[in-house]
Amino acid sequence: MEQNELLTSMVMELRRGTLVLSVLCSLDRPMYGYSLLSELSGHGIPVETNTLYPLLRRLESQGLLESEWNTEESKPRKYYKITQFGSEIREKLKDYWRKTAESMSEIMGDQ
Amino acid sequence: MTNNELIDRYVYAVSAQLPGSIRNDVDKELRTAISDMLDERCDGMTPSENDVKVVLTELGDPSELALKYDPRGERWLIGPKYYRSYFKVLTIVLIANTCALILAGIVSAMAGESSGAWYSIAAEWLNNIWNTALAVFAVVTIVFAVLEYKKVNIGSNGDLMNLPPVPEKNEKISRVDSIIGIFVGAIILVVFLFAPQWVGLGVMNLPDGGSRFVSLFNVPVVKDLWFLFVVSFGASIANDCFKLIVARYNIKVAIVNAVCEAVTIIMSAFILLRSDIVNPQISELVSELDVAPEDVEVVSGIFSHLNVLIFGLIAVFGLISIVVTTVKGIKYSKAAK
Repeated sequence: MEQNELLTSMVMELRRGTLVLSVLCSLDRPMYGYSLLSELSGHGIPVETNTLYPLLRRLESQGLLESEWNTEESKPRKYYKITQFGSEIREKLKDYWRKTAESMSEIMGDQ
Repeated sequence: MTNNELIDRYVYAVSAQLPGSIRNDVDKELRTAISDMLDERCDGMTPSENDVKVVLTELGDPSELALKYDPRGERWLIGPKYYRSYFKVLTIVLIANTCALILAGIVSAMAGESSGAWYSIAAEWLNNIWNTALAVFAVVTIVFAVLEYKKVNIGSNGDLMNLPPVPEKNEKISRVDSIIGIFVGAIILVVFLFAPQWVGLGVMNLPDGGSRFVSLFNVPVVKDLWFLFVVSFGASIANDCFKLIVARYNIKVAIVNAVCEAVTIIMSAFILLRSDIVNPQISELVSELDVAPEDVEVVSGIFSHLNVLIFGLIAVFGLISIVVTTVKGIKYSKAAK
């Protein structure tokens, strides 16, 4: 595999792990798939449509998100919002993330 | 094609692969997503066919997208857990089967069974090999697909603290023995199916100075009973396949072995305990042998009851195998606990 290809696949692997937490942190207010996609990419977290939409559905089936169809706008949109259970999981994930980030900084020699 | 038609086809290609419970929901959501993507890309202008193409390409292959949406996750006909056993059994059984059929072709050609031009014989031979290979492939695949579907445990039971102990020397079932068993079973079956006249007695130095070969069995009867032979040897081959996979004595092996041996014994009884199974020419052969007059009765008695003797041997060895395998199965299953 070429160096670039290898790097791309590793970066994707890293991003995949952070995606769930990014989504959970963005859904305190209801959002539909495409608006969430724009918001995340505005924060420098690019996600592919074909990854985000199925992910939202999976998180909903796991009880972390809840959804509601809004048919009042010009197009029918499914809005997702974090649940109570989702918030609890999110807080724990945040803690893990901070600890991991600290350890990573240490291991990478930043401190 | 219009843009709407392109989108309809794409969305249908995805949703048609999903379970009914989420199909409509995904359909609606996906349409809005595509529409949003087009809006952003075209910024208020009417999207061209090329715009639609770019957006659909970004969404990717419909089957891959459907897989991501599918709550049942990845499903397999035969998944990675069973694949190695499947491949091993399939390879050995296919090779044994093909070798046996090649042998059958040679045997029946030598026996002068085939008539017609050589190329039509060869074509029929290849056709037989191909058809049987397909049947074997289908049976092995169906068996493993059922194991996969039912998630049957053929290895450990998933409890890492309770894995089966490393087998003792006598606990292992030799793979070589199992493979030899499969090959021998397949070859004998083929001989009975294609050239039963080859199973017989050869006697040299008859009193008249000549030598003679006489078939042991009544060939037309054996050919009529082909199905019993297939079941009997099929059970024996299945038994060896199972031993090959499990490769150690345990209760499962003991049960499968008992069932298969019982089938073999019962089928042998149906075949061998018929009064017309022994070739009548055998008794003529006895009369030509140079036997002392006082022994004639014994010798002709043995020859006229050869079928019963052979059945007796099969039954005794079968029963011994059942007892030994059951005892070992129980012993090593207890040791495992």
